[in-house]
Amino acid sequence: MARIGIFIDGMGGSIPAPFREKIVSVIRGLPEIAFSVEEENLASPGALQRMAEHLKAEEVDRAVILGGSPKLYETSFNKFGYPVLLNPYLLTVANLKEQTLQAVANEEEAVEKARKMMIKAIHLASSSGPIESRSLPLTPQTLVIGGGITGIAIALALARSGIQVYLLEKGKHLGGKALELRRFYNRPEEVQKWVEEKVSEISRNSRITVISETELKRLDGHLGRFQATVRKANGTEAVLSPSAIVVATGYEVERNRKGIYGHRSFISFAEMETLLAENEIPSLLRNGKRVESVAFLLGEVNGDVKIDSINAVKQSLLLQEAFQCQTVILCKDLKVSSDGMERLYRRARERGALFIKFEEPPKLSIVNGQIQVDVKDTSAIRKEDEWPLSILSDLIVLSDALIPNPETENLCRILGLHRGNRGFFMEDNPQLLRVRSNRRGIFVAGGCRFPQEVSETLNEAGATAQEVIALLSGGIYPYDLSVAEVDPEKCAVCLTCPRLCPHSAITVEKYAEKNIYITPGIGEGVKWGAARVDPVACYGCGICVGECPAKAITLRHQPDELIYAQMNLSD
Amino acid sequence: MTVAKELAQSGVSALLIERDPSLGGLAASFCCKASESCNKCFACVADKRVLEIRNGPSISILTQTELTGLKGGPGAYNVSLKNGKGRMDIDVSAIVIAAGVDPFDASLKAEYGYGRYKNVITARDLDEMLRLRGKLFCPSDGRLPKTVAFFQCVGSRDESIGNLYCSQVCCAYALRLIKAIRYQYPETKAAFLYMDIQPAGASFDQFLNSCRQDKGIRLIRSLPSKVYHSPLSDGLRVRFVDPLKGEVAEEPFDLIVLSVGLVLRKDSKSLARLFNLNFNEEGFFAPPPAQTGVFITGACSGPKDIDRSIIHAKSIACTVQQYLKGRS
Repeated sequence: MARIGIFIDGMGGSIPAPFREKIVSVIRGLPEIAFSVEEENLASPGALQRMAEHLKAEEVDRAVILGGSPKLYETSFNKFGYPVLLNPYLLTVANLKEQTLQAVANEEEAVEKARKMMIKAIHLASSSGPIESRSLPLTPQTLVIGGGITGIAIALALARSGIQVYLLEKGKHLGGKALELRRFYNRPEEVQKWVEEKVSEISRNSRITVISETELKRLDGHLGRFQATVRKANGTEAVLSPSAIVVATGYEVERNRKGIYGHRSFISFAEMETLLAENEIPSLLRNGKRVESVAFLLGEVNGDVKIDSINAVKQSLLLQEAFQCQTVILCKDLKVSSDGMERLYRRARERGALFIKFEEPPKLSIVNGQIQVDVKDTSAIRKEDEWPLSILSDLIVLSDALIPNPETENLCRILGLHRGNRGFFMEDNPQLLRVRSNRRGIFVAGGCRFPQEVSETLNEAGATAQEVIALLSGGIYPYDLSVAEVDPEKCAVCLTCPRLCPHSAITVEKYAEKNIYITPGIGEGVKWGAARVDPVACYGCGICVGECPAKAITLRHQPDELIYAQMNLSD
Repeated sequence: MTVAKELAQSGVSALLIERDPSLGGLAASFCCKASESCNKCFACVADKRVLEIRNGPSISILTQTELTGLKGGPGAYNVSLKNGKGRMDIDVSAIVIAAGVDPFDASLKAEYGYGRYKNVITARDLDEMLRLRGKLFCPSDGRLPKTVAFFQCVGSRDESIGNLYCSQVCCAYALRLIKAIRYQYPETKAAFLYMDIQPAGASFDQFLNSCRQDKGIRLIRSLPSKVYHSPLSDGLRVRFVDPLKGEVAEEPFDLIVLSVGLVLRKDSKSLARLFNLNFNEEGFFAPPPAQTGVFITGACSGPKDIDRSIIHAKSIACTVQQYLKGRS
């Protein structure tokens, strides 16, 4: 038998006295009730103090609040401190104000509904058990996968905050895609120099260990206790044990050079960038031939990416100003939603760049060995003024599709992460924060989540670093055991739950001796373990509980009996 | 708010000063723009953040408080504050300015008739209508509009009013509003008049495609030149170039929504004077040198949506911590 203390909250008159009297008379007839107290405003520091004293004096082991929304009491507990000696899971709230008084017009019905709700709340209180809190020590060590600008920026920010960083890079050098760029659109410095500076800062920092020509092969464990197996190009393996992991593996460019696109006039943005850097002002030469006109064709492959527009306007300006080239930019929508881009766009137009915004993609054909671009000019007001335009230019810069790295799929499998739109790494609930992944302790940032412009990526890197610092700076991760738990005796190792778990919190381990099968045919001594939920990694969503065919999984804070108790189905 | 919360989480004591009576700023005044599923407008995130901050134990908050003076130098500033209760001076090591933005004053674009015609409203007004009144209606007579036109780039990308920048948020904002309206009121048709569709992002392509597929939404690349108003019927006619017909067209609409851009708050001038801040070409705050210990974050450093403001704020929180670490 539980001893339950009841607190009736008048909520400053929202639950009127006559109604409360009726409630009290209902309570009198119920078992297990130690006492009931009325308060005018329970969510105030004084009332909470009295509540604590009552609970102590009466030696009750459960408490029920009849009043407003549970959120309200949570807020006041946060504000004034949790006054109750009881475990928080032994306190139940019935929202009489919103769910009876405001929901039901007829007073008699309201009292009846309140009675039912109270009985449920009391059932719930008497059948709940305490849930203990734990904390996990965290060592300040992080693994950053990917040595592009995102990885570099994150590693530096973490190291400056006293966190040990392993920076994993599959190639020989750090820098990634940024090395294909020569100039920023919005900063005066050269990209290469800027990257070199950052890389040399990394090499001078004793907290950062750069592991190049190495890839992640295997990942075990969860937040705080990851075990990452990495393999070098020469085949040697090592195991790292970081507390948190940041994935910043960037994106890849997919070139379509089939058919007409194989023509020598087509080049990519990166090739144009190199061309601009290698040539001496004032004449631009390619394969010994002077380039006088350049067209930029921004296809629909990257309709949701801003980078191409920015690069096109930036390169076009350089071509016009330094090399006296005539430029044409053909696009569907010109993305200028980056700081300073509208001004750049304006400048390019003033210098004579032509912008053609098409609804239907332009037609390409080969005329006298040159590529001709046919497009309708949509800038004319009247239909009859709409001339078809044919553009013959020496070079055509083509936007290539930005796609996820080919190893993204494999990495997802190793890391237990999800892939989202177009196959990039998916952030967790985008409303929480876009750099968090579906697994606690693993973050995704930069181009591997979505290709962005450099300054935006750097902001994202800073935010990711901040997330990691916030997670690790306390030295511990506090959590309570309101999570799913597998009964190893019931578990049939069917592997349903590890596949379903959206947070990759379930693994099959041999941790219970009781569940050992010996299957005929595959030899004796082959042992199975059982599924195990890691309490730190578990979000307590309950999907595995619902799906487990053997009903071997329970939510510790919300077991079936508790749900039945609330539904009055317990007997 | 985000900076304060992040710093507090890492053990830096933070003082949050807000001039208005409530936290949240512009972001907290938006309505949810979900249709059948969430359209990621982040309005609820702002509300959640206010709750987190209010309930969080370790941040001191002063609302209805203004900054009146600044003394001292980098690393050891002394700020003077003034509120209803009186004045106070507080020593701080670093200052983060997140003064935010205002929506553009649409009455400056006189040809659209905002402020003169009742049924010309801003996207912000529409948002408020949906949030506070819970329904869509024409302000003139309260009936449900059958046709709504959204004008983009009102106060952005416009040299005539001196705002030569893209406000970066209004396309997505308007499209989400259209989506939400189309979901709630399927009989209402919407037209979206634009220059370029700007937003980019992981899920934007899908979102835009779903808008394109919706027969009740017309995306028209054309900025209207003028709104005509009939005083008798309160009807509105819009003059614009119709790219499909290839001619100048006039079309009646029941309601016109102006997608207003973002501008720095008017009172930011005094802040700039106080902190000796420079403005960038676009008229927003330029970040001061790192060693001054003054940091700029959020939309007052350049137009940003809620999501990117939060990312920027977290990133700045990281920089602030490094600054403080470097000094101690």
